[in-house]
Amino acid sequence: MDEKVTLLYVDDEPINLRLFDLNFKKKFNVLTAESGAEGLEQLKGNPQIVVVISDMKMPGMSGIDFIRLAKKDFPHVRFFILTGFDITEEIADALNERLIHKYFRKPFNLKEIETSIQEFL
Amino acid sequence: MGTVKKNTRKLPGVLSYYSKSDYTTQQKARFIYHLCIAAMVGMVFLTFSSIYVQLNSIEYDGIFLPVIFAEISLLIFFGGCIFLLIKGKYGIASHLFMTVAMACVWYVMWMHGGNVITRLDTVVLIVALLNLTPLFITKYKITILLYILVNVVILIVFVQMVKGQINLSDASAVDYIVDTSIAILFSGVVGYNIFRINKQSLEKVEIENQQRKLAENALLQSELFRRSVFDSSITPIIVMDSTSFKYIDINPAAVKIYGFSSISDSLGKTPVDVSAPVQYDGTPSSQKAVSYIEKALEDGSVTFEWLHQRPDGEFWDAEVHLLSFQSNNETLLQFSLIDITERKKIESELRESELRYRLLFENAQIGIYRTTPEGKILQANPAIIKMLGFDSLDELNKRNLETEEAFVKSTRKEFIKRIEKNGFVKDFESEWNKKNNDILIIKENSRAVCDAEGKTLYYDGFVENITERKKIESDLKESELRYRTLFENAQIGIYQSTHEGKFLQANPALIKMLGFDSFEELSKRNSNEENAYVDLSRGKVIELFEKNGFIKDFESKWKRKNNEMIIIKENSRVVRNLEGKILYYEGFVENITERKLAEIALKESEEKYRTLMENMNDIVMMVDNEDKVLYVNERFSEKLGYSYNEIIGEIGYKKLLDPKDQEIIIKANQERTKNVISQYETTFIAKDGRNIDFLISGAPVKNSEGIIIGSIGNMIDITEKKKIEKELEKHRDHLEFLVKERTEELATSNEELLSTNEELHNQRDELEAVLKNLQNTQKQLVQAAKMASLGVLASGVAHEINNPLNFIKGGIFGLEQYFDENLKEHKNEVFPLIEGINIGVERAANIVTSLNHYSRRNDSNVSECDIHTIVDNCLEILRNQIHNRIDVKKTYTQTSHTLYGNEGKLHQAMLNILSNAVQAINDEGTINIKTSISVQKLTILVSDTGCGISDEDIPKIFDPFFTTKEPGQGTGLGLSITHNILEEHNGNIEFESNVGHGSSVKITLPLSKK
Repeated sequence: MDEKVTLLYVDDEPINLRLFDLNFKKKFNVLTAESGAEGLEQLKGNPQIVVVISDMKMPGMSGIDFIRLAKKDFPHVRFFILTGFDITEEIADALNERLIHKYFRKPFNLKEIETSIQEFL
Repeated sequence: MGTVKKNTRKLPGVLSYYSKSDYTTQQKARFIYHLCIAAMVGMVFLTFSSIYVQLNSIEYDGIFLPVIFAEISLLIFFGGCIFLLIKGKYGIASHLFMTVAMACVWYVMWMHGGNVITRLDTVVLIVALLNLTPLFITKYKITILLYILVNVVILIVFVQMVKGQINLSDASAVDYIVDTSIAILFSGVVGYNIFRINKQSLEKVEIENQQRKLAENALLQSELFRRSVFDSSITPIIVMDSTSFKYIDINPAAVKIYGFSSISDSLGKTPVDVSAPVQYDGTPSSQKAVSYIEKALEDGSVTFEWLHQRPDGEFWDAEVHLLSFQSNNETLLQFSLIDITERKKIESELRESELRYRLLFENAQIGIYRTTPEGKILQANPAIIKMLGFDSLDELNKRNLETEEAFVKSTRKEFIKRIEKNGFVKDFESEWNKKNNDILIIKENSRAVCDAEGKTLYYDGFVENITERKKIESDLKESELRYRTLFENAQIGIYQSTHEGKFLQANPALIKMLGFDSFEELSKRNSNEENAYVDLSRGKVIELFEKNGFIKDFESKWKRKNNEMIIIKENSRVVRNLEGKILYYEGFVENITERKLAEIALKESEEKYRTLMENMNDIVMMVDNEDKVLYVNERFSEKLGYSYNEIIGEIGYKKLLDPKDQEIIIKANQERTKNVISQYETTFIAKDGRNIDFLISGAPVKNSEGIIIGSIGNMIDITEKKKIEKELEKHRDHLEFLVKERTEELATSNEELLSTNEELHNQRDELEAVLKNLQNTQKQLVQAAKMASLGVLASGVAHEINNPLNFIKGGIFGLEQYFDENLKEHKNEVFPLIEGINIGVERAANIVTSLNHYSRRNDSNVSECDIHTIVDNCLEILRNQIHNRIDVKKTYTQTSHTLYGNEGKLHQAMLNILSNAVQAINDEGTINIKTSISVQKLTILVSDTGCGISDEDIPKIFDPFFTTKEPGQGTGLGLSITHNILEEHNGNIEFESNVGHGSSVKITLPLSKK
């Protein structure tokens, strides 16, 4: 792979962001954002982003809200949810609407995430 | 010599050459000069007269040249004489004049052709000329003889020539010649003698005169000298009359020393005028003076010291040398003075100085001594005697320093060695024995005093008692050691740093805190340059120092050696010198990283739970033990109308309850302090006055020490249910009323009454049953609601726990990767540890998942459920109760089975059954779980080896609120709810039990159709 895939990870927990970056930076070009709003900005500023993984519960804008907004402007991007909650109606609806491709549970399983992303590319 | 008298006559200007010559010479020169001039005038006159005579006289045939020529030659010669005279050649000029004059006479006589007699008588002129000789002759006196001789010879020749002419006999000629020669000779000799006599007498007068002058001069000189010595002498000298004692002569030095204004002012004064009223011994000066004068007159001289006083009152001392002498038969006294005021003063100062040193010696605080090299004490001042505890010098003198007893440590040898080598010792410290054998520590500065041959006579020294100082020094050292120990061992960091940021000192705690190995390493770091502060510049800290001089509880972030960040709290201050210049900063540093992180974590956690509380559907209220409201959530405000601020701090029951209801709360709160969880119903009054019924579940709130400080209540609005209840009550009342009415109506008809009564009884039973059912329903609803709220709580908690679990998982994954790539050799040791963490995370994640399942809220939602998963989840929840005590044996069917149902409720049901089984087992035991399939039905058999249930209790177990547990331990609702849930799912539950052997529960549920 001469060019790494760029992905954006949105989570309100900085530690999660840092750990995610550390664990994935070898495989992906990881960008991070601490909120949905910042995530949108990152997307605007970095057209090379092809995958977005977002936390569900964040202050201000929930992960689904963020993805809903982002999907409008960036339909080609793949969106995933990484949440500490069990599946909720909201998530189930999002899955049904094809808004998101998959949802991951926290604590994350790195292999699962990696293979899922590779699958969708 | 008439000219001599006129000695005041001036010389003619042309003769100025002779102005310095003696008087005689001057007069002679003058005479010759005038003579020459007169001769020249005479010659001019003669020449013209001769020319006239020769032209007019018949005797001459015109001009007779030889005469005229001779006359003109004479004129020229006389001019030459004047010339020589002016040039100072007086002798030559005078001789020339004489010679020319004579030659002229002879020429005239010779050449004259006239009468012989006329010619011969001219010789008289020669005699006359010779008379001039005393005037001419100064030198070459012999020439006078020459003149005489030449004239005589010429005369003889002349007479011989002319005698023929006049027929003169030889005898007459001889006679003439002899007579004339005698006249010439006589004139010459007399002239010469006159000259000589004159000269001799003149010389004599001259000598006498000179001698007199010399004598006069000598006399004058001698008198001047004496006077001059007297006047110019710097020694004051006074001459005094021996009877009146009056000063008759005084020199300027004396005037000056007496302080008088002038010599005239001083004359006539007496000794009393210049003396102090009394002398040194107290005798009046007048009396004393008389005695000295008498002594001088008697002995010739006397020398003594005298106290004088000047007119301006100043006293002065003098040594007086008085002597008597005779002058003009009078006895006079002369005395000279030597001012000895200075000497006296020095003498007096010397005396005073000696006294002062004596006093110093006696009173000095410092010890002063003089000892011999042999160790004998010659002198010792009181200070040293006191220092050593002796009473007197005599007592101290008995001590010989060469004996050992004087010194605690024998330092005498060292002392002698050094003083003999250098001649002194400086700051020599030694320990001496006092009289009472106490130790005296001293410091001495001593020197050796030697005689001319260099032999040491004695030692002089100063001794300072430094015992106290030594003690203080040692105390100080100890104190410093103590502080040093404190510094070294303090848990808190202590430092000193320069303004520039360099560490001057840092204790081990600080070095460790900053992750350095040694102070040297730390001191290489510069706080300014390397930006030791993470969150702010050191400049900011310096600014605070400059402003306040200190910083207190100042929190900042520092970088450790490995760039790790620590949070510290610092109390420091600026240390300045007297001029206000900053010397250094010093301070205490406390590592509060852990505390800070804990605080942050706590704050975050608190914030999360607060969010949770605020977002809950139920009302949550927290009160202290006096029921003072500490916290309410938003739902409280919505429901009861009181805002957060209105209710906080109020006493809950007073504000919110009708007085008649207050008792129940007070009681509940009291119970709570005994750690009792309780549930009760009560009516709250909202702000707008509405009554709202609540079911309150209260639990104690404990502080960190486990002391109950209040309670937290979960309140569910049951107003509606209450209303129904009340309405039912009303109905019942109404029915009763109707019954009564009917009874009364039917009383009139017994038969009718009986039948109707029976009917009514039936009706009433029915109604009661309905009522009971309603009550049951209501209670179950209550429980359901409670469970539901727990569910919200659980799912919230699950999320919050999942995030930290994510950190751990992510972190450990990263670590694993890192080890894999970089530290493969450690893999074997590290991986088991990582494995352990992974298992822990998994397990925690499982528990959270179970909680999620249990509390799933989608009540109405029916989903596919795997019963095996549900059972496993429940076991997970109960793990801590099962763990190490109960052996759980699971016998599941090979395949998993799904059924349609509410997953949360099924969890609740299973959990109740399993927890009953667990609780039935007191110590150790076994629980068997077996699933089986038969005709679209799933059977779950749960059997335990617990205590069992008695036969009489078995029928009651599904009744709500039936419990065998202690009050407060169980609600008695568990199996009731389970029963209801299973019924809802078209399931069934059966119980079998044997007291002491255990129970078994059999659950049957329909499987979903695929």
